[in-house]
Amino acid sequence: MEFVDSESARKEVALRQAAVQSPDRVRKRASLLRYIWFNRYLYIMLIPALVYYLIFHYIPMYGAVVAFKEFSITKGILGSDWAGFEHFRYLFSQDKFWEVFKNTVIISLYRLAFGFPAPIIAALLLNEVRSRLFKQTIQTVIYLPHFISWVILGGILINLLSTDSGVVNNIIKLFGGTPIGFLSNESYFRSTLVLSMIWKEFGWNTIIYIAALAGISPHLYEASVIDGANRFQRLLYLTIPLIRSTIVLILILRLGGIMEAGFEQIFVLYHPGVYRVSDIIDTYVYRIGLTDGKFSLAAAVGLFKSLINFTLLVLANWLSRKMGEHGVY
Amino acid sequence: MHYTSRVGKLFDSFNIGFLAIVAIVTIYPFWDTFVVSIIPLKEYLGSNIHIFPREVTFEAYQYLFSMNELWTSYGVTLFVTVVGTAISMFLTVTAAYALSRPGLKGSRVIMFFFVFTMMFSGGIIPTYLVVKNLGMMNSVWALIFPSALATYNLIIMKNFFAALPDGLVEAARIDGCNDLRILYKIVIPLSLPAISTITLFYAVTRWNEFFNAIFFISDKELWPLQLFLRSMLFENESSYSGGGDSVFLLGPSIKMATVMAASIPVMLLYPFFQKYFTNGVLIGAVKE
Amino acid sequence: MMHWREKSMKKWVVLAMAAALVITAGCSDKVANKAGSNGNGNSSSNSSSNGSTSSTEKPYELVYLTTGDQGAKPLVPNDRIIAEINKRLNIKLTIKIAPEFSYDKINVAIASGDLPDVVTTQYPSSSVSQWIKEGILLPLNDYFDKIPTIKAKLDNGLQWTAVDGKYYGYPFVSGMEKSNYTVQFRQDWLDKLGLQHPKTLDEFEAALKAIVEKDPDGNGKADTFGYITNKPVPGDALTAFDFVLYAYGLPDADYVLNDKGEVIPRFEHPAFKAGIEELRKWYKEKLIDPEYILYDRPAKEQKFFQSKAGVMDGPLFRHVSRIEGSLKQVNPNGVLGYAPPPAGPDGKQGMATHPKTALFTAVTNKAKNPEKAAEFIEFMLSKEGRDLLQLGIEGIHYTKQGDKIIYNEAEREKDGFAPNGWSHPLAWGNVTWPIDEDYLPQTEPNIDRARDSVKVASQYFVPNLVTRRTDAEIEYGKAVNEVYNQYFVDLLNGKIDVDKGIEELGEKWRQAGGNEILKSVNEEYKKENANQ
Repeated sequence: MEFVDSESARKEVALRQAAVQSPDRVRKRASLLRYIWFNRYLYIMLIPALVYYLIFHYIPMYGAVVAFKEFSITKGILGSDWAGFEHFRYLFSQDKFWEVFKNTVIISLYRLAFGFPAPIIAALLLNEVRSRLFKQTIQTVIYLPHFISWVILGGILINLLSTDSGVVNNIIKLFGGTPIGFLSNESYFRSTLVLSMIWKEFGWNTIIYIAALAGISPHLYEASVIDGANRFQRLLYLTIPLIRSTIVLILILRLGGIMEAGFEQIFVLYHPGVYRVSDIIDTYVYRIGLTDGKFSLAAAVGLFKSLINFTLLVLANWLSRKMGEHGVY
Repeated sequence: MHYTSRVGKLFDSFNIGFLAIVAIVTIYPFWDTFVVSIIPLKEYLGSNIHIFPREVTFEAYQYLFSMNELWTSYGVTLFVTVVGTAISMFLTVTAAYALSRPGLKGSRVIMFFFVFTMMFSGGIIPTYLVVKNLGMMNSVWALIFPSALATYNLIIMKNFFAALPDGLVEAARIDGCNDLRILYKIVIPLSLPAISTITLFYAVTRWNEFFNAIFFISDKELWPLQLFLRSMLFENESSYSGGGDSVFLLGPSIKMATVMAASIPVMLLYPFFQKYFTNGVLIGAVKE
Repeated sequence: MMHWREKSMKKWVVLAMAAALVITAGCSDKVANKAGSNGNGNSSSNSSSNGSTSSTEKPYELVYLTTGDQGAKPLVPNDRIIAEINKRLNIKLTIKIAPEFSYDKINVAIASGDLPDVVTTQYPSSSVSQWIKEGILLPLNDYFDKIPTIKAKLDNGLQWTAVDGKYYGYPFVSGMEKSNYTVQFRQDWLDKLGLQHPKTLDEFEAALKAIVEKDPDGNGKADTFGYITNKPVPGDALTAFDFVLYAYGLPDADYVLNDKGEVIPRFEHPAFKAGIEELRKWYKEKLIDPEYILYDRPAKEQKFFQSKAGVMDGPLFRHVSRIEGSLKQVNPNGVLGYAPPPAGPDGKQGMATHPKTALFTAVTNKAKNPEKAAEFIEFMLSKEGRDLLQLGIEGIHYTKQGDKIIYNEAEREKDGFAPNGWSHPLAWGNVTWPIDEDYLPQTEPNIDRARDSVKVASQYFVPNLVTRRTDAEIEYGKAVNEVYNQYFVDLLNGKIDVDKGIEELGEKWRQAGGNEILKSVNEEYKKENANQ
């Protein structure tokens, strides 16, 4: 569990020791103060962000205890009676909860496995394009669907994939195939979800890699050409290592969002015929009104998801630091 | 060498062809939406796939642009986007720079303290109370401050800053530059691709914001664009069968025209920022 | 290492908690101090400059939080209708709108202690139950002499909404007496195929078959479906095929009784099985569009306009003009027809049902003058208030020539009235909808057919076995509906065996909360019938 700031730990140890040996303590404190004074501008620069997090995140954080309470409006969050793990017990006792939990994880892993590499590949391919105009045009075009909400995109998708008149199935029919119920058939639904998610978002997600690639000097490329590297070698030994830290960072953050499997998209596209494969925690909780006005239960669901996200993020961060990367903290 | 270049040429043609196909596939939803906004109802209802409009009309836009709500919500969103992005960038750049300095004491704890909030929150009630106690309820500030800093963006920004050559900053410090000056004079100019990326991220998020507005805004005059858009798209079933006012006014063209009006301004941001994406040359130069 | 982590975590938690305590303590004080003063300069408040002259009393500041009619135009500052309400009631009205039917917003505002004087939200719901339990809503009984319209409505069929004899708000149940939900079809196709309005299920099936096989749109291909519908709203049961079940003799819309007189789920009635078998036959013969479960309502209608299907279910009334108008856009010869639902082998028929949900308008304990707040609700519902909200102020927004109303559209637009004689933003979606008022402006082109469609649909109401929605139904209703929908879809498309499917549905339905529901509904049924 390396993630604790070892420096602050060391500091604490030092201060404790200092408490016993007072002259040492004075010296330590003086040097710490000197350190802070030397870096005062950096610490001052942190203040606005600290204030923001304190006011809008840490002060409201007490609200999380409502997951362990029986929320009463008149008593308020802190005054409400304790309920212990009652809400969690209720949640975990629902068979359905584990089914939707499983779906959440499966869909999320699919999204990760296919949705995560897609923008990296796209960015690398774009990086190989020599014509600047072509490159910028493609970049601009592929990021457009990000701005069309799922409500609209869902309608378009249903038309495109319809079995009796959709373009995709017309092409399949043209080649002598039988139409596929991409949205109505359980066996195709998840793939349709993941593919359409990539369709909508991969272009937007390339931006960050393109920005990272923009930092690579053409001189490096020239040098590598002189060294006799071919394009593939350049990609492998030059380009990818230079965006590796960005890739790792995004991967860690994606793992920290594993419990988010795309509420809006699924909510627009799914229907009773495919609940078994596509109902995720968020859609289930919303649809059956489990949390309608029930703040305690909603907080319990949220806390459960947070814990899983948090665990994965911490593990991923620890691993990445082990492997010599920066990590997110 | 000959072999490589032939393979390289083959790859180039394949690459360009492939990207072109991908672009055509991804532009479709946008194009479909645009076409629906300029065709008469008759043509819309007649077909599910809209590629080439047979008849073009701008009635939907005329109707839309005559709605006062559109312009007031443009005003709100423009203000929130410009002022909000500026505030966000200030918070992000300052914090990211400080946190990107190697070995700054306490920086990892602070970063952890920030990252923690990405996963854990106290829920909407205490946030509502904070906004209310700050007197921001039903004001544009409620659309700006509660999500003024995105930890995700902070992490990315910090990572970009950390990739700058250490020697640069240290040298400047030894020269007696203070960190504010270093940030302003050296780090920011060298990080334009990163700064533009994060500015773009913030601006787009601000532009698309509606969650805070639902909870903190109760006056239609202060609705941001996205709430206006959603009110145009949203069809409530009880309102529908009860025969409220909503359902009769809006044809699909007007809805799609609203989608266009709500997204084109922000779509134009990226091409604008793109020119900064090639300025990275400098960084490399320093690095060597 | 773990030790340190816990320690540093604990530190943060303590810090956050301390800060939180400070904030909440500060806040509750503030709430108490400024109760009613409504500090944070609010929404469309309209100074009643010309209003307060009639009374020496200072106008009462009244905050109203509602979802309203989302499609309505926004309230404008200096709205003359609001000013008129202010004047007549001697209040200063501030209306807060929760966008997008966001009951969440209302729940959060109330849970945070940010109470309006009057609130409209969905009912029955666990939120409203909690508000009543915690004393946040005030009973209206004390003000009955001031609110005759509300009292009359409550006494006339809404007694079931009382809690321990007290009414905590006005529950507006849309579609209790009137419905516009019926079968719609392509009249021009039936004419072309030489078919009458199908009166029985057999005729209905024959009509669907003719539409599918005889190429009524004349494009040379047998590419039309017979019946098309859309997916239900999440949490609602799929009811689009219910008219077939009612034709087979399903007696009630909500629950049925078994031989022993106990309440059981309706899918365990023999009529359900008979109906499902009929529907499976239709599905197999491709009389039903197999992708109906993907469509939302606009997508369904579009297929209908495009001649992809000949029959659909849906609401009419105001929609007669819109649906027929859209149909004619694509097919200039298209004609919309509607008819009563088809009758089954024993002559039974039914389609429309009575809802058990409402929009609930109530007075909260924040109201300094609850009587005034109740009078405001009364006003929105009274004849006087309806006239003001629908027509406006005589001489400004309209003039009368005998019975004929002449709208002054220019003046009406200034105060947020919708065009073509439609109403003020506050008119609909709070205490009534146009259909329940039988309201159509005189500008409506198909006024007679619109009214007739309601008459036709309203004749075939299917009763409910139990009037009230029980607490268990509030809690588990959506969950069991989803189980029902899943099985219904599979039963219809033939994926599972009928007997086995219904049996399994019974088990899963009970597991998902059906047991609790049956228990509570049985009790409720006994209670309601003992009272009679």
